Amino acid sequence: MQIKRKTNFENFKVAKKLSPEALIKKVEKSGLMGRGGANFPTGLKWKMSRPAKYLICNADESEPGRFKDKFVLDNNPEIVIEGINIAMYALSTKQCFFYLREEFKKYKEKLEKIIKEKSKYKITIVIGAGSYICGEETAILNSIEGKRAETRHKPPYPSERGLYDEKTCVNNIETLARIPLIFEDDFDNELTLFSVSGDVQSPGVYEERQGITLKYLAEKVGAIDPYAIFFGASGGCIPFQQDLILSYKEMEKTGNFFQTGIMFFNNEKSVPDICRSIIQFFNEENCGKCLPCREGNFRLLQLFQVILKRKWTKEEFQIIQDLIDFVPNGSQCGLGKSSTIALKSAIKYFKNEFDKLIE
Amino acid sequence: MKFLLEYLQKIQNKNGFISESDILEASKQFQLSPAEIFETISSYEKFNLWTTSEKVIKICDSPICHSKGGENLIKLAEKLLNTKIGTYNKKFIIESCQCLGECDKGPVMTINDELFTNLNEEKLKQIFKDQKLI
Repeated sequence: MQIKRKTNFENFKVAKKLSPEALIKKVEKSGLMGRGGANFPTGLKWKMSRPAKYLICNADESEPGRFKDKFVLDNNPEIVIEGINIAMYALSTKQCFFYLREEFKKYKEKLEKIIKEKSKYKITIVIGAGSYICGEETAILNSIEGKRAETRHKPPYPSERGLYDEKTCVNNIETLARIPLIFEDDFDNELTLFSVSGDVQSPGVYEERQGITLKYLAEKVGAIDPYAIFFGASGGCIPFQQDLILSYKEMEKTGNFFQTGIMFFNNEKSVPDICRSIIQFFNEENCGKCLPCREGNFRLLQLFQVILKRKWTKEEFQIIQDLIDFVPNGSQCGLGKSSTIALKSAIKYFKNEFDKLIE
Repeated sequence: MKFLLEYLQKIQNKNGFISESDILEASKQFQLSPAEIFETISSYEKFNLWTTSEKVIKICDSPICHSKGGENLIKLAEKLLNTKIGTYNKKFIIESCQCLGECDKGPVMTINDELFTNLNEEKLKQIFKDQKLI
């Protein structure tokens, strides 16, 4: 795995021989895309943010089915710190905040040791307090500032006005871990960490190129009777299709959003039941600011609890279908907008399972 | 640079909850109104406004853990401890929680900060025995 490659900060030394402008051009040319989920070009983000007052390394990973940030922290935190150093040099930044989700606080000591020994720049570890939404690039700003875990309106983007109203660059931890690799001869911008879980023989994190087929991944992880595939809680779902290509572009065609947290379910699992768990997730994790998201997800959960006791009436199922569009249309941030994607695609692709639950 | 979250976490870790007088003190230290401090506290899952049980048992009910029997484990835990989910008592409380980022080892739970993975009914019973809960 490239991401596990040991580092002695040689690539940072090479990077420093370039001017910050030339370095950003190199990152742009490398074609590296952000690994936080939005797939935004990293070089362009740096160009827009420079000179940034702050850099934020986002390790607030809380998406169900995704555990690759933890994998990086476990296996190669040094390369992240090197990536941060390169980024701070390119962005002319003096302060970085390394934001860890609360469950990752155990890594604080290890990171601080590496920072003390190797980092040329000031990196402060910030521990979250349990909030999924803080993984979003504006909510993380609020969290560091000690405010409610809520998103901000965009624009202005953090690159214009971010932390404490200053220009800020927010990068995912995997993105930063890949920065030093740009200087290696065998750098491959398609390599991505896939988190695979569910009904498979070998769940775990796999480094593979974007563009592999689902069949290839299923064989590699030893998927057992794959039936339904969910892409995190917010990416959507599809029936197992061997030839499906795992990339942002191809996934859009299916009406889903590509997430590297891939959950395999076999045919003993009920798709509506998995949807109930996803609705429960968004019901608990939404910040409560936008009414359609707060009340819509709550109402959806109530309706999904009905099927534990009896079937839906036709009217109830119609309300579910109405809410699927109402929630994203009336919500400000990505959480609200993506909270019903899984349910929408589940009803589209697994209609027979839902039909059985209607009177 | 002073961070409100860090300040609150220290109080939370020390006392297990953040009291009204803590809020008033934080308000002075950070020059924010008590309402603003309360706003922050109420937005994060890890902060409590009142005392909590000695052992907080959180069983993950996110999609993977759910599909691998997380919900049944919650029911079993309720039965073993003769309580209902979310019901406070001095010794323990059972809560369902959202993704802990351990989906490859699901179903999982935490007791206070200790993580338990690849759970099944037998394992849950044994852990409760080891933790002197039953």
